[in-house]
Amino acid sequence: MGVGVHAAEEDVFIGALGLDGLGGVKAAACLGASPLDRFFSVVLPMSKLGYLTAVVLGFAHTMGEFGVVLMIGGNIPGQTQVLSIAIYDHVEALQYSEAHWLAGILLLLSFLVLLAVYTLNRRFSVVGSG
Amino acid sequence: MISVDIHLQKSDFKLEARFDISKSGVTGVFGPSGCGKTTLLRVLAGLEPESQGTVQIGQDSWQSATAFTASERRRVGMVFQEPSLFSHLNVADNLLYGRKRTKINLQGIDLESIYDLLKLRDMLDRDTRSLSGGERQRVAIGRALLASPVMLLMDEPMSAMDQNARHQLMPFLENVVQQLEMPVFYVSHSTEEIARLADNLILMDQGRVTAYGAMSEVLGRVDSPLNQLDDAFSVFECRVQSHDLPHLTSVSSRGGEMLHIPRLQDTRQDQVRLRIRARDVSLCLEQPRNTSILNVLRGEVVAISQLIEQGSRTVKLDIAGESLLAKVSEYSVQQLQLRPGKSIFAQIKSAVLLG
Repeated sequence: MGVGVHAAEEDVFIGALGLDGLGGVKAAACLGASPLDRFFSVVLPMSKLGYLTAVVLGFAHTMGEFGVVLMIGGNIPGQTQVLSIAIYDHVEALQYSEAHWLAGILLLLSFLVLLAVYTLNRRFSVVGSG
Repeated sequence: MISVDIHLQKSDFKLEARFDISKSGVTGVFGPSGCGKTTLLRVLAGLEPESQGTVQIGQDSWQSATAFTASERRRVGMVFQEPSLFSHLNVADNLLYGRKRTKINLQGIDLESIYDLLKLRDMLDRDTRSLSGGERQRVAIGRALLASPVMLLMDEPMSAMDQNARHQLMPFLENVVQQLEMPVFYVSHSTEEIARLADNLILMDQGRVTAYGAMSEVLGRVDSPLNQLDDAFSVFECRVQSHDLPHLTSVSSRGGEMLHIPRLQDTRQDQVRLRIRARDVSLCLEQPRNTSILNVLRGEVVAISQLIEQGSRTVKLDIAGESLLAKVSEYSVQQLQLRPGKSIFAQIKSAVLLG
C-alpha cells in the first residue's frame, strides 16, 4: 500500500493512551487530517489529562526514590539529596525528632499527590464517557 | 457509476462485495445486523486498508491492486453511528475542523447554507458534551458536509437515538439528501428509513451483496432476498390531489390511480412517498363492494415468486405502470388461479406515509 501510517494502525497506540477518541481519530482522517495532523489536533488534546496524570505520578515516584539516589545520585545535601534519604541520614545520626518531622512531610506530600491523581482520573473518565 | 469489487477477510468475518451503482441519488444499504454493512462503508471511506480489490468512483480509482488512496485524501463525508465529535473543541470548531483542511477552491459547500439547513446557528458556542443525541448527529453531519466531500457516507446515524429524536432528525436528513447533489450511502436496518430516503438499494446478507440497483427494480423482484426476510414492500410516489374527504387526503400515483391516506398535517405538501408492505396487500378477482378497505386498485399479475416462504408466495402486480408486491398464501394462489397476465383487484390495508 505504501501510504505510511494508516488510520486503522493508530488503534493500538490510542488504546494504549486509554483514549475514548477512536471514533474521533477516524472522523479526523475522513475530514482530511494527515496522520501527524491527527496526532496533534485530536489525539494529544484529547489525552491531555492522561499526560497530566503521568506527570504527577512520575513526580510521586521520584520523591520516594531511595536506592538509585543513594548509590548513583551521590546524596549531596542541597543538590541531589531527597526526602527519604534525609530521613535515613537523620535516623543514622540518632536525630529522631528531625526524622519524625520529615516523615510527616513525606506522608502529607504523598497524600496530596494521590489526591491529585484521583481527582484527575475522575475528571478524565467523565471526559471519556462524554 | 460507482463500481466496487472488494474482498476482506477478518478473523471471524468475511466480506465479499461486488456491485455497480448509479452515482446520483441516495443508495440505501440494507441488511440484518452483522451482515457487513458498516464494513462496506468503512471500505469506501478507506478505513479498511486490509481489504483487497477495486473501488472506482466515476473516473477516480480509490483502490486497486496497485494503489490505495488514504482516507484523508478521498474527501468522503462520514457520519458514524456515534457522532464522534471532538470533545476538546466547541461546536463551531468541530464544524470547521474539516473545512480548515479543505483547499479554498474545493470548498464548494456554502457555510451559511449548512448552518441554516441543519439549524446549527444557535449552538455554535456550546460544549459538545451539552448537546442531545439528535443535536450531536446534526453537528456531525454538518462537520462532514462543510469539508465539501465528494460523497457522503452515513452509518445508521439514527440507531443510537430514541423514537422521538429520530422523528426530529429525519426532516433534516431528507433536506440534506435532497438539496445536495452528491452520492450518498445510507446504511440502515430499518425499512422505513430506507424507503423514505433511498433511490438505489444494496441488499446484504452474511458479508455478501445479494442484490443491487435502482430501488424500484430491486424491490420489484419477486424472488428478492428481501422477501425472505418478510420485509418486502413497494414504494409509491404520489401527488396530492385534494383534502375534500373527512380525515382523508386523496393522492394519485404516477399512473393516475387514486389512493386515500390519513389527512396530511401539512396541507401545503404536494408530493408524498408511500410505503406499502407486501403483507398488507390482499387480492380479489372481482371488485370488492361495501368494504372498509379504502384503497382498492385494479391491476394485473406480472410475476409470482418461485419460492414459498411460510406457505406464502410474493406476487408482483402492475398497477397502471407501477409495481406493487402482495404476499399471498400458496393456497390462495391455487384457488384464485393466479398467473401472469391475470386481472386482479388489490386491496391495500395500510400504506405508511413517508413524507
